[in-house]
Amino acid sequence: MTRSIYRRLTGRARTLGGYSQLWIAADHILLVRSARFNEHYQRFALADIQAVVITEEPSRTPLQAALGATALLWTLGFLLVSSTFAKGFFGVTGALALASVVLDMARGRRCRCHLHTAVSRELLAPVARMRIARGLLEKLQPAIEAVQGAVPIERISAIEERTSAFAAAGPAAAVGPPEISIVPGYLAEVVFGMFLINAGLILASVFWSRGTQPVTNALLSTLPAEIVTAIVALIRRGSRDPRRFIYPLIMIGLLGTGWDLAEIGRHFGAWFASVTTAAQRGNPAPIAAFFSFFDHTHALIAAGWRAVAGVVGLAAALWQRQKSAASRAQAAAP
Amino acid sequence: MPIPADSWNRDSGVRCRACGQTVRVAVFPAIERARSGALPEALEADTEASCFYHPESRAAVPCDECGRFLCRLCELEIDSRHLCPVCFKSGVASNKLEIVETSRIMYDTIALALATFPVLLFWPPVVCAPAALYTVIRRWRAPSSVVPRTRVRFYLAALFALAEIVGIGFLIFLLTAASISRRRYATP
Repeated sequence: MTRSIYRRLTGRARTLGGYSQLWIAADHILLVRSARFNEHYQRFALADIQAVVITEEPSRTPLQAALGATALLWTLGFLLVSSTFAKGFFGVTGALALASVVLDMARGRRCRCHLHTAVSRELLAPVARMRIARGLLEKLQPAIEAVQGAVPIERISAIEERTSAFAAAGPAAAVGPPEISIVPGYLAEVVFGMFLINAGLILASVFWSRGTQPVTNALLSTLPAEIVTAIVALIRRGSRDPRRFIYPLIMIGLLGTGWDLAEIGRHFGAWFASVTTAAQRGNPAPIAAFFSFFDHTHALIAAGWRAVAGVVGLAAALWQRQKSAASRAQAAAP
Repeated sequence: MPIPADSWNRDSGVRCRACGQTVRVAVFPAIERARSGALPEALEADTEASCFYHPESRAAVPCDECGRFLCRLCELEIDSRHLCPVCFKSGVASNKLEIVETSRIMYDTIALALATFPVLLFWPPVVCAPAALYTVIRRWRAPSSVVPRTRVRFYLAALFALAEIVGIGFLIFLLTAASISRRRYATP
């Protein structure tokens, strides 16, 4: 192992592209951001750290309970299907989803941890849970106080007066640059638009006999696009979008899409079985039966829920956007 | 809204009056320290040593690398050593100042990726396995991460790459032998 002056402060906070981690040396802490094939380092001298602020995030228990119930319902879908493959698909995917929800609940409340120096306010990404934040402070506070000493209690009021004076003096005396108000993107609106487009395409693929093949070809692109944009919209929501109602609607839409995919899989399986039966009997393969992904009944259900979700979602997204724009304008007014 | 001082440096958090979330704040004496940079001192007599880069300023310390006299403005204290700006710049460029490095390339991860992922596509190991072995040999002594890290990725990459190269060689041998025996026993 390479010789190193560092001791581990936190575990790895993993993302899709890499991870971040905190380490401590004798006189500074090191924030490591790894992008798999390279690492970036940011050092904060213990003598320069002014404050560590840990903010607990709102409880996600209702959302976790809803996701857990959804995962459980999905898992129980194996009781409704007959084929071994479908049973395994629902069972395995549902169990994985349920396990991830249970693990998220077991890891405890989420938090944000900011490190304040004279020139920066750095978000420490590895400190994302309250349990980790408490452990970090237990190790970091003595190390900083060994270098700087502790703030005398009699000085705290004077420090508060000075920082309050800065805040009261207005933007001209502010330490950092002005906050940029976050305007949510339009990805949620795109998702609901995709729902409406796919609703139209699904109906056309079943009820427009001359256009079945080209419309089905289009659905081969638009259905996966619907899934990908919905997942990306949910991942990117983070703290960027204050609108609350539309994202559970997108999650419900994803469940509906999952059910549609299961039906398409069943439709494909039935077609494949008919092909093999025809081959055994020496008959030509019934290729035309596969041109449409849905039968009439399921097409109406699939198009129906997409149309409702699209209309309701678009209306809610636009209404909430106008509402948050009005409240931002009100907050910015002197 | 500012967090009231009576809730600073407490073991338990307090509720923010604006958003209602629990906040825990640890404040340290650096918050009171005035922000000021180092200022050079002017020469008071001609007999005093002056800074190499600022002849009108008094020398404070010599550079630990090149020996030039430096004023308080030029002096850079890095890892308990005093350096001039030129030696600092050359130290950063030649990767000798580990304490100020901001990034490093993880050659061991690159070698392991070259030795493993291409196998999924079947034919790329013909190129990637030798590339992985080359990376292991060429970058064996390259500085790894500044945090503790073992060489296990290099070892695994070398092992997998050698196994793939041997496997590819064996496959070529089998195909060649089969081709030769087909030609030998082909009917005229």
